[in-house]
Amino acid sequence: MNRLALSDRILMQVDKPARYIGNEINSVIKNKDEVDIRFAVCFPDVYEIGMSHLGLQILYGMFNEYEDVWCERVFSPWTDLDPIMRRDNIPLFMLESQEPVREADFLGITIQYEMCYTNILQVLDLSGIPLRACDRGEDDPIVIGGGPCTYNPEPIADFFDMFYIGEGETKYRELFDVYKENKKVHGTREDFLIKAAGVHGIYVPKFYDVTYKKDGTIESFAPNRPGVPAKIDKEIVRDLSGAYYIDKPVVPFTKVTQDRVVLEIQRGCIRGCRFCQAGQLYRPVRERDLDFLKERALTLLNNTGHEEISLSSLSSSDYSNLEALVDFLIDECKSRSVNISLPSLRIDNFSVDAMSKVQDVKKSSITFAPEAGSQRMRDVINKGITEKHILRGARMAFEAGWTRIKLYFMLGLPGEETEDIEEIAVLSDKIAREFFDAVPKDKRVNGPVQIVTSTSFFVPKPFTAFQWAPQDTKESFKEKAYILRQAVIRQLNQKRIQYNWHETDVSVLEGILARGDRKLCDAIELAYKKGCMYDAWSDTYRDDLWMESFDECGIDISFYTTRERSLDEIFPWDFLSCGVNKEFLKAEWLRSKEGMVTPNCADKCSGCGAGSYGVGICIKKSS
Amino acid sequence: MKLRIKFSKHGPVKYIGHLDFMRYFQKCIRRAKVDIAYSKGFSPHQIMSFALALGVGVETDGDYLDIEVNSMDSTQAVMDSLNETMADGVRVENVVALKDYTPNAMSSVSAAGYRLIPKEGVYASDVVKACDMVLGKDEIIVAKENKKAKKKGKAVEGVNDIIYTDIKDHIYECSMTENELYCLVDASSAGNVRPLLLLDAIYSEVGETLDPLDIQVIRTDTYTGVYGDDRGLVPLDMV
Ligand code: SF4
Repeated sequence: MNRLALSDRILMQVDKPARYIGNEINSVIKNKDEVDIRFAVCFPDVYEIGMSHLGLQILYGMFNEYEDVWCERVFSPWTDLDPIMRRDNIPLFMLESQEPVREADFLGITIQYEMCYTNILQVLDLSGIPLRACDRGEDDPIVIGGGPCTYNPEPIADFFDMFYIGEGETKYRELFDVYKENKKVHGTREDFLIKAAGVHGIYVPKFYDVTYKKDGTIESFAPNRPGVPAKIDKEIVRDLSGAYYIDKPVVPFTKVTQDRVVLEIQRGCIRGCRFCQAGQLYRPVRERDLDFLKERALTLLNNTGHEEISLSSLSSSDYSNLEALVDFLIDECKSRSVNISLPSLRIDNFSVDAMSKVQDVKKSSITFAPEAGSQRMRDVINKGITEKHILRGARMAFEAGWTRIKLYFMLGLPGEETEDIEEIAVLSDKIAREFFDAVPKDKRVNGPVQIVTSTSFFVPKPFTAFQWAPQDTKESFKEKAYILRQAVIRQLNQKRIQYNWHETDVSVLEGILARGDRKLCDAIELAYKKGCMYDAWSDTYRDDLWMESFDECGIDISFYTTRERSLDEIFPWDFLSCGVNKEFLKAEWLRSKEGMVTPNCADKCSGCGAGSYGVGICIKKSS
Repeated sequence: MKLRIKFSKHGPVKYIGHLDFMRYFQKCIRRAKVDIAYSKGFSPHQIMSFALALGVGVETDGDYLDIEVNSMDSTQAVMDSLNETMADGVRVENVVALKDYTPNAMSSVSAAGYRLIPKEGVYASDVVKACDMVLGKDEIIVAKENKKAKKKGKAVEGVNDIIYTDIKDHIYECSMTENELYCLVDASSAGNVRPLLLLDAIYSEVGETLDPLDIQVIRTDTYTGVYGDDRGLVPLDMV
């Protein structure tokens, strides 16, 4: 074991020191002199969150299979360690070697949510890497970003040397080879960036110039040197069962958020919910083979010793072999005393039966995500379910013995009226009534029905039909939550309904960053310098500092949030392609205003554009 | 069939807290394919109990846990398969089959040995001298946090937040050199002595304050039996 980067005294003073020691089961130690490339893969949040992320484990496993690469992990030091590292000038380190991040050739940062942007700066800062790509020298690692937020990388464009757009499994090998080749011929950092910009899916921000109109919108966005593509298309895995998938994930010493085996059964989603970004970014849906998943489930359980397994995908009910897979897992897991944590499934005979086999009806709850209360709004967002579906599902759950129902809704959806909000309360109440109707008095052995209704505030995201939509103001959010609370109180079964809502401040910030442009880089840096960090954590989130920073940088936040974009506006992310084209999204936006629903990919192809990849459901349909 | 597992824990893994370490061990048992018995119900648990908790930062040469297995080839095979899947710094030192009706590890603990080593340098000579002075006294009073009151939210500062106890009769052996303090002390649930409190009492004797972070604590072994009895204390794997 290597010397630890932190002294014993420091480790004994901070919370959960095991976060910082590395050395976990299945972590990979290599001889640094025997590899050509050292890659620091970073999740810019605390260890327990980062280690729960499947994508990070996939890249880690895949890179370490390459003989010439050593991949190590980096996370944000928690708020108790951060000031100590600054005080003592301790550089941020990689867990495996415990050596400074600066020793790496690449620092790859996975960017899963907007609220981690200041943590990216924390990681760079503590590593001793200049925050801005333009200030970095030959000895600094190449800072590369990946993950869903890179589909609008512009607010953080200045902090990255490059972004990898799309699924990580496909192009890193080529990128590494380009890097090695460049080193061999003694090429500079700039030389490498130029060559990398030629690799499919790689976006190097400094090779693009943006000009703005008087009103602040984009006038032009174009490469500033020859040989750099004007449009960057995402990378996509064609055959998921043939692609790399983890077999020996790192098993953390501390209890992390996902302390279990995670089996990704498919990627993408057939549904076209108009608010959902992931549903568009990962099109078309591609399934993994049943046999592959069966084999991998057992391998992963054997190699980790985890006592629980869960399935991951955007909409697991749509996986075509779900019944066979779940039956297999129930059998296997029973004999191994492993728990199965089922994803939230559409309620039908099969899922009720499966759920009652793996969880205690008395203790567990059933989840529905109608997302909107009224049928009109559900059509606007293209949710594709009706009240009848929901009530029928709830009834089945009640008849099988469940009494706890969790409901998820959004407030602030485009075109929402007061009645739509009140319908959330009405639907919650109808579900309660369904219980009293379905379960006779003498059968209510598990107690009366309990309904937990939660709302989050809608934030429009790039590459969705709602990318043109205005976001609600903070005040309007608060008012809507109040309207709903009052409406819940008016219901017959109000005592059985518990209503929770999310914070409004963070939704506004998320909205600014999600559809932001390069002009935001300064404000993000300023917010970080003022002390913003761990914005995803309510205890550490400082709305006042953020608003101060926007103010001082002359940023009008309504430009990013409440403004309705015109149909011909050039968006900061328009130069990227996730397959789904802007014309399709525009049509969807207009259809949503008419309350017109669009069929899902399994029912009928709507020609979104992702068919050009010639994979997954798009070719299944035509053949 | 019940098995008792003796393990050691040294180096960076000492920063893994007790609850996390229990979870770590459960995963090891699964990876090693030990045929452990599970509780019934929706979320089955391994039948496993640790003799003593080991605080963050403390190392051990001899800690124990009991498990129940449905079958096994041999205790040696269990030990080998576990050691194949241990993280650096943790080792299974012994596995013994317990006779029926052997009291479980947790309830049989009566004493533990500790080495307290300065992480840097040595103990000051007046501190070493003070050791015998303290041990020669009629009583050794130490202050402990009143955990019970604190848990219930009933601790009042300066009134009942600290309890004073005499640990004299709970120290069975103790010797000190400039390099280390060794002590064998009561570790039963009723009279458990934290060795750093003893060292603190020695420091206080010469008017020094002890910074616990300066000291590496290593548990040398865990015992059952009665000190001074015919059979005396025996390590938990020698029952
Ligand atoms: S091209 Fe058709 S089938 Fe393919 S993802 Fe788009 S809508 Fe679905």
